[in-house]
Amino acid sequence: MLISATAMSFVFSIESRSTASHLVRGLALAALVAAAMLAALSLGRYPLGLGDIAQFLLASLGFVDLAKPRYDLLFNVIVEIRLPRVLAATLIGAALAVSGAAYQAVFRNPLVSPDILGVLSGAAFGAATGFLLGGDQTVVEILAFVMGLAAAGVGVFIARLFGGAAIIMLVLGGMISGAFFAALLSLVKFVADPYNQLPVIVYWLMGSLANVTLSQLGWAAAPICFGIVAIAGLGRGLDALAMGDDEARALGVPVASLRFGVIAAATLMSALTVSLAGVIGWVGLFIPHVARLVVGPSNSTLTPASAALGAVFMLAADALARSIGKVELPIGVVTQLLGIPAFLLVLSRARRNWI
Amino acid sequence: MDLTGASALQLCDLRFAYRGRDVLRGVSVSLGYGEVVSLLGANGAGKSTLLRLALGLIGPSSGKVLLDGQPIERMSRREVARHIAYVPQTHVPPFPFKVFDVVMLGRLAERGLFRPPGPADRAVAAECLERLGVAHLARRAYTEISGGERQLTLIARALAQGARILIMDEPATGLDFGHQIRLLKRLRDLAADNYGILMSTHHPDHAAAVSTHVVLLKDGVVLSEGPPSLTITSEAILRLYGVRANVAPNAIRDAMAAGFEDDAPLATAPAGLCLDSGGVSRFSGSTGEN
Repeated sequence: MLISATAMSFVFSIESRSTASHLVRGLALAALVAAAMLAALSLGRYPLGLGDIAQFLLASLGFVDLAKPRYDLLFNVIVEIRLPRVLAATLIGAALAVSGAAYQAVFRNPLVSPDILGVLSGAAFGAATGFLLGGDQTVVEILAFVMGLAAAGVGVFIARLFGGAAIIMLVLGGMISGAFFAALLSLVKFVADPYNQLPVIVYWLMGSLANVTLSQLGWAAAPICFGIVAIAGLGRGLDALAMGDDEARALGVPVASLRFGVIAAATLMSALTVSLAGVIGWVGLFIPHVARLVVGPSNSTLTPASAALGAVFMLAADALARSIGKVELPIGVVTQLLGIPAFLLVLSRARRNWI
Repeated sequence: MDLTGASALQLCDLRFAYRGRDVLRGVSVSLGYGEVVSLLGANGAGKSTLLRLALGLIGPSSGKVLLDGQPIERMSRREVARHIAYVPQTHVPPFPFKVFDVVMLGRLAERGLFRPPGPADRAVAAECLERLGVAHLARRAYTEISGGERQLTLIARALAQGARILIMDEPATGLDFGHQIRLLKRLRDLAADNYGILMSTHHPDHAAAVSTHVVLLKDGVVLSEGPPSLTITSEAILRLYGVRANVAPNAIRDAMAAGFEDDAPLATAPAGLCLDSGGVSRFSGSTGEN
């Protein structure tokens, strides 16, 4: 009796503390994303204050009257020019961070990033081939997406050929597949016309949010959101997976289907980001670490936190890419430059937890 | 419901071949609720394989594993997990989960992957931590506590699973002497509460102290089995490990029976075995022949 009474009070204290703090952190992260999106909307060549954005929002909802030319101008700047970028940064940042966190959990290794299975090499090869074939935007995107999935598929296939769902085989399979598609990419670059095609390929591979349209976002948003929700929902299974395959199975978790299901969702998301915006590195590797510092390692909370922080980081990187020089910098370069010091900072704070 | 003595887990005539080589041959083991069955054997004798077969993690080449009379291979992983829990050798996961969250993983078997745990599950987890005496660690990172505390956390997780059969892989390995004795005492208490425990161990003295039944494995076959006093003999130790040892059984059991308190100093150093050749004996209390 005494034991269960103390146990109950103990549970109560844990529960109230953890749910309250999770709620607070969740709300804070959501507010952070909203603030970052607003800030990104107001940032650019044409000066726009938060007041202007609020005015436009209220006007489009019918609360305030706004002169027609003014409204049209704001509509053009906010909705047609800036919104696609802001939404793209939010979506791509969230997708990359969540797929990175998922890969890290599935591979039981905190230093894994979304290209462990060769996804990025495959997608890069696909896009380059698209440019070689004439460079139609849709063809490039579809080829990037399909070849990204194909590269991961080859990696998994090689792994299954030798060792089933074992992690080390997946890593080796991914290495082989990545190397294969990297070689194919070099071949395409070699064959490409050095004056017209090669520069396009090189620039595209550095990543950019400049060409993303609202309609593209429309069809990419659903699978990305679905992937985030699915991975968060499987979070406790991923926690069990971190303890080892035998242990997870003894806990009642269907290890192989969980692993391949999560790999499929994460691969789908990262291949989509490449087809939208090119290769954007580092986000998937280090954002999950920042998220772990904020909310802890449990995957059901880590996933939404990674999504939020990935979105914020990508918005900030895009803002820098747009405003740092006279010409827009490739966002892949900015994430890499920003990511390295951020990752060093995280390493110095969290080293003892991993090694 | 009194389940004492009922055969909970039966391993019938198991053979397991890996790459054309028999790892286990004709092995039968039976475990009842309230019993502790220990597997003894040298490295590579097939202990771990036997445990993995008992958990249904691998299937036998021939023979059967019956859980409460039902063949285990026809059950889903979740169904098995509600009856059999695995306490592995302790290891450190790559991410710093809280001790409480590690124990909560035990509730996956009950809730499934898709239903989030509720207050009742948290109450079970907290009670299991309390029961193993590690409730104060709940908010600590599992990666930062000691090996002995990790072992207790894993046992708490096994209890949180709701399983009545515990399969333990060398539960005392890596623990200091005090933690070993405390752990053995916990195992005996669990058996008294009608849990069935199947464990492998490298310590014949541990097997002697807590087991109701001992199985000696050598090169994949059962050398002998029975109550510890009849199976753990000098001759058996020689055949199993190739070393001569004088067996003074029950020494650890005596130490445990002597009202072992957590912080009380040990009056006598309990010694199960004293090696008289080829080994280093650090125990006093029983004498070798030299």
